Amino acid sequence: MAGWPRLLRSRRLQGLLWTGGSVLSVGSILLYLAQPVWTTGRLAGFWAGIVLLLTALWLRQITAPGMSTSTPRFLPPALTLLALLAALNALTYRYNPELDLTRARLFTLSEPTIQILQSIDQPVEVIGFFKRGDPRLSRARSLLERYCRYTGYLTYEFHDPTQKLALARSFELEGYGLVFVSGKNHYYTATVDEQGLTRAILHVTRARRKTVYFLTGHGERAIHAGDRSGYSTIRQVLEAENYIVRTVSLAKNSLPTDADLLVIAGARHPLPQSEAEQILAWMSTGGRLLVLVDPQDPLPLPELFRAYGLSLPDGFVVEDMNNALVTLGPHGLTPHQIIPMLTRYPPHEITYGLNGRQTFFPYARPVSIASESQSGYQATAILTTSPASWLETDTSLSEPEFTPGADRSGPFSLGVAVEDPATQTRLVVIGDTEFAANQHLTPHVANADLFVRVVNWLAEDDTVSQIPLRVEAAPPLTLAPDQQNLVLMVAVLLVPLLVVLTGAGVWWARR
Amino acid sequence: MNIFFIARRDLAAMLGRPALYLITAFFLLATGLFFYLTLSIDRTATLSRVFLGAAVVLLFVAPVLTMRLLSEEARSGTLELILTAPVRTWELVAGKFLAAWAGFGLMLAPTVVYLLLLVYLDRPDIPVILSGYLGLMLVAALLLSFGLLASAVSSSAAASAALGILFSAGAWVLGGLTLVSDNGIGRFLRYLAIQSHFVDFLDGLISLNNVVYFFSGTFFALYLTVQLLHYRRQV
Repeated sequence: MAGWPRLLRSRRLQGLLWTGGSVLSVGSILLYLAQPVWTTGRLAGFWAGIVLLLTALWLRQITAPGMSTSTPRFLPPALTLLALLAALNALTYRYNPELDLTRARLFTLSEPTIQILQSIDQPVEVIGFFKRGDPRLSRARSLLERYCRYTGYLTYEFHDPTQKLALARSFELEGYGLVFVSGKNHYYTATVDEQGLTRAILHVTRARRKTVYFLTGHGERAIHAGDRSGYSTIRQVLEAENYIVRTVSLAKNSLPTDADLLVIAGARHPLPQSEAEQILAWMSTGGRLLVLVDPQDPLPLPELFRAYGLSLPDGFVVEDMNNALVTLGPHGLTPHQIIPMLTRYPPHEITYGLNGRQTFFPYARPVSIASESQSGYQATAILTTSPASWLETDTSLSEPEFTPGADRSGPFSLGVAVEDPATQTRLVVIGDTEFAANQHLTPHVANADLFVRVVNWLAEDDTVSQIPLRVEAAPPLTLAPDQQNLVLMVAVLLVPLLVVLTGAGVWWARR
Repeated sequence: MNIFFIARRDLAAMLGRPALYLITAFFLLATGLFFYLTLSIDRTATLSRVFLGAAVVLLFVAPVLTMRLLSEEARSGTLELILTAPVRTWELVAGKFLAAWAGFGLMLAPTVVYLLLLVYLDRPDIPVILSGYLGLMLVAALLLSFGLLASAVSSSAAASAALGILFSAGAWVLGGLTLVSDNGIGRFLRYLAIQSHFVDFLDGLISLNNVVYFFSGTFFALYLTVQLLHYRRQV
């Protein structure tokens, strides 16, 4: 032992190492427990502490009198065992049979998803942008991990958007979510569930780009017009989303066979019988249609609306001051009561994750679900105004005014999504065309996003809708005050007390 | 059957000490509060918060349960006695481990009352809760084996408890590294963390990999404990 320098043998040094190591490592753990974020400092502190402690332990071992300085004989077999166990862990990490015990089968991927994953034949990269501790982060991670078991083409990584600002900006990302990239395509989704992820994968890997046709010939909004009321911006937005956007006139041609979606954006004149019949025939065999109708315009397909139980009353919706668009004009802030502004949306696939973002609808008419679905299809309101809104039926007034008796009070639905599960037909009707005009598609409002969401939902493959939405439908548990007291008494008082009494009994018996 | 003889002896000794009841009462007070919070704040008929809370409490309780098992015997000199007795070292360690594990099972047993309360108040997803119990028992096995290892390293009960807490808490908080980055090191550290293998059990998902993780950790810590005692026997 004389070979060891005196300094290393000094008890004081070892004590110092022990104390310093404990303070550093325990301190950083305590800091972490208080605020569960690992900063570089805490991490460095933790590991530095561990290193100090191990050094102290090692010094004690090698300098203790009577201790052999040779490597303990058990180290080689221990390392072998460690390697074996590591291999076992690696093996089960790769091939990991699971048992899903949840009632809703939350961890079992549905058959359509598995089929889609197995058919992927090109690399798909998923880049997730979430802040630390966001519950969607762990959900996305565990879902993607499961997805990767069925395909070798899927890779994923996660970043904090506040730290990787440039990367997030390169995808024009607003907020948090997942970006799916494959080849030249990319697709953004904030929906972290099986439907959302599978939809995104389908979107970027689809060989054929989907085609959206805008009907022309009846005074509709023009997708090539760059003026304030034109639709050229919405066309560009859809093209950026990987859609082919075209116009079609049914007066001369029949509906193209490659049409995935037909849009009627504000027909000023009624549709001739022959055109209406073509669209109706298409809709009866799984067609997808978006209809935008302004107040005072004729209904383009009244028989279709009737068949799906929709009614579009005459008049326009007037909102109260708090729920209308406010602009800054020469006379200060001016509310525009005929421009309802929405920030909350009824639950639907289209509006999922849209809550909190603003959309507004200048001069809009209500679209109401007149009768409940009698033939199996589902009609859902996707845009609703506030209860304080009302329907102005007198369109000649320069200043709208609520007339009891003549005008109805709200809330009103401005948009309805209809789906017929039997034929896979989908229809969205919105009582406004102006909301998607060039002049209103500014970055801080979600009007363009809403339009894209509607188009995405309408043009979606049938497979995605076969994936069950796995939300645990358990309603929150509400306890009556006496039930709460029961829980408090039994769990917090009675059980520990009984244990203490048993302990006292044991102690008494041993005395 | 030396293992079970040792396990029974140690468990009986543990049950005879009032300290165990105090620790248990403290443990159940904590889990009871977690349970009450689940019902009054989360308003869900689950026990995952209870199990998660129990695991965090266990980080500190497990080393206390095991600290006496080997270091006390070393201090009082009985370890030499046992080590020279016709008992194999691994039988001794396995027996002591089983005693501690069973002891924790007894501590946990009264929480079945929560399950009964849930059944009375609502319609809980019972298989998910059972999977949570399994997960917690596996976490306990790992933490107790860490504690046993710490207890074999040091001859002072307090030092071995401190060392055990440090081991356990260190392995636990690795789970905080969830978003360091998704490169190799990040994934590796996350894999090592107890937390990332425990949460699946709470969600009602039992995967082979998670079971293998807990088994490997426990087995390796017990193996090291046996070898350390061997080493002591020789020097």
